[in-house]
Amino acid sequence: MAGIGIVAALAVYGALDYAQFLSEYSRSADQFQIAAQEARFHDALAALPARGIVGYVSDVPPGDVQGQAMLGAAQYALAPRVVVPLNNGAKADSAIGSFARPEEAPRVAAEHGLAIVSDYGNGVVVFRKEPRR
Amino acid sequence: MTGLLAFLVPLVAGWGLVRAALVRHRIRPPWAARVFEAALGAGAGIAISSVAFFLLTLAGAALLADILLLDTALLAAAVFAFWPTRRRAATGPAQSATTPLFRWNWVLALALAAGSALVLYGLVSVSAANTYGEWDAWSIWNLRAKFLAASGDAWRAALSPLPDKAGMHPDYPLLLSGFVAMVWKASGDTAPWVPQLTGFLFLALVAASLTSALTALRGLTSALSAGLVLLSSTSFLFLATMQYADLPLSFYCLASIVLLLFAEPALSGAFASFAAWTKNEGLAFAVLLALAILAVEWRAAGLRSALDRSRRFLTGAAPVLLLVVCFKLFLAPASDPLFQKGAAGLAHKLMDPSRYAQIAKAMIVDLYHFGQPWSHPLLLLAILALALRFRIDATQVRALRASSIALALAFAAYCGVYLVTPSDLAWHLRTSLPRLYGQLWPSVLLLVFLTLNVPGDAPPPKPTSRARK
Repeated sequence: MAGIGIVAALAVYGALDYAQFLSEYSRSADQFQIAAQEARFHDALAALPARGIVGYVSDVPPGDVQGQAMLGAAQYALAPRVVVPLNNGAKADSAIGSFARPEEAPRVAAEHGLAIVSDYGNGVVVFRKEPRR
Repeated sequence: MTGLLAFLVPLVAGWGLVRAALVRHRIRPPWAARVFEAALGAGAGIAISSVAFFLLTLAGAALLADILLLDTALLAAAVFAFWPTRRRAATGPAQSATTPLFRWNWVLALALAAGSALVLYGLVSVSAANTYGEWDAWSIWNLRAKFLAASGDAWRAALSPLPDKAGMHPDYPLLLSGFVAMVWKASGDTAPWVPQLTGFLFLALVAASLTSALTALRGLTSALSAGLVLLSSTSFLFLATMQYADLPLSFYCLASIVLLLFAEPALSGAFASFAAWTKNEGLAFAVLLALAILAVEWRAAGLRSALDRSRRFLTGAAPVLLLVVCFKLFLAPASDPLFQKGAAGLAHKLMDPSRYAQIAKAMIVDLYHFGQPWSHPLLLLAILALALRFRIDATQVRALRASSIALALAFAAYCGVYLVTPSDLAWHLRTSLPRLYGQLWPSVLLLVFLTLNVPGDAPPPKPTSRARK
């Protein structure tokens, strides 16, 4: 029955080793800072419609991992609103901006024909569609 | 408070229903019977409440009062089913392993308890630091739960055909998202404790159903050894913190196979259909298990027996399977680009040998990373196989064969999807293969331990005639 004893000893050793790994991993577990996004977008909720489609703009291209994570985090924080990137031709009266460099907001707004409604100072900006002249 | 009630009531109601359904079985020892019923019952309760919540949502009647009414109805159904059976004597075949008592079981139990406490502490630390889970949790499963939990017709976004929401996989079944949404709607918020706790609950259900079933079928030493190997399957354990549907799927596949071994094809079918309501892979598993049962029974006992067993399996599976089929056909048609590629593109990929090599290499690498090097579950299984050798209980051969065929075909289907995936193959393998191993792993462990010999001391010597005097 030595085999079972070896298995028990290895399993406990492995558990100890894995617990140490998990302890270290927990320090960087939320690599996309999703928990922080709920707070980051919180103030913008009141300035957006309660449901329906909300446009999305950013200075980070949606094609790379950071851009996808920023879009996904915005979508999760703002659900049940449906967040759709404006560069895909989505039609929405309101839009949310999530910026890595907040100073880019006016340029992006001009590109998409948007007017800034509120700038929350943390890279989150609420826009509305400017009426066509 | 209402959120906690909405979380707990389905578990209790499911326990009552499963206990009533298993009343004819003489599962021994009694503690294993109680753990087994509770684990399967909790899983059944989650699945049934998820289905019921989704139907209420479709009917536009998923308000708090409706959810509380649903909970009351579930409890009433459980009491109605359980009460008449509470004193009924079991008449079915005994489900108790007649193995000699292994005198070192207490050491195995101590090792399992200590190891589990260590790992659980680590997993809880990760979950506390990563409250919203991994990528697919907040981009698929919990996001869809948020849509389903919203008021009005906002739930439709969970099945949204918008091209930008293709990454949300609106065609994925809704067991996990539906259950989480139901609790969120009852509690009036979208607190992260619900998906967090659900993840750990399913880990507990897998461990409880695996060990209690093995205790009944093969004895306590087998169960404890399986628990130790499961404890070493670190890639699988991590699923509890991710808040994905892979862990629930692994539970429903395991439960379906266990119930097949307990000669309960209808219940086995019901749990297979719960797997289908959890993930697309679960639908494949349910279909493959049904076909495997038909084929194995036909070969072993003839067509009539095969048709009878298949009929019972499908009777149990039909209600939820019908919902899944309707969901797929009418509510959320497949949006995965896999289903939108022409035959020419697929044939080209199937003929490309480099894709086979890439998949094989990834499988070996991810299998290596499935556990820690010195306590790798395959290493532990190899040691146990060398120490114990093999023995298969003749009464379990058919169920073992059907389950093994279904799991092997499910794995082959996964490989086939990788071969023709429209996504970048390296990315697809990296982000999904360890989870696919995890989906099948508890079922594989069950089958392996049912083929291993049972460890134990030599039976005590018979008393001599002098001793009897």
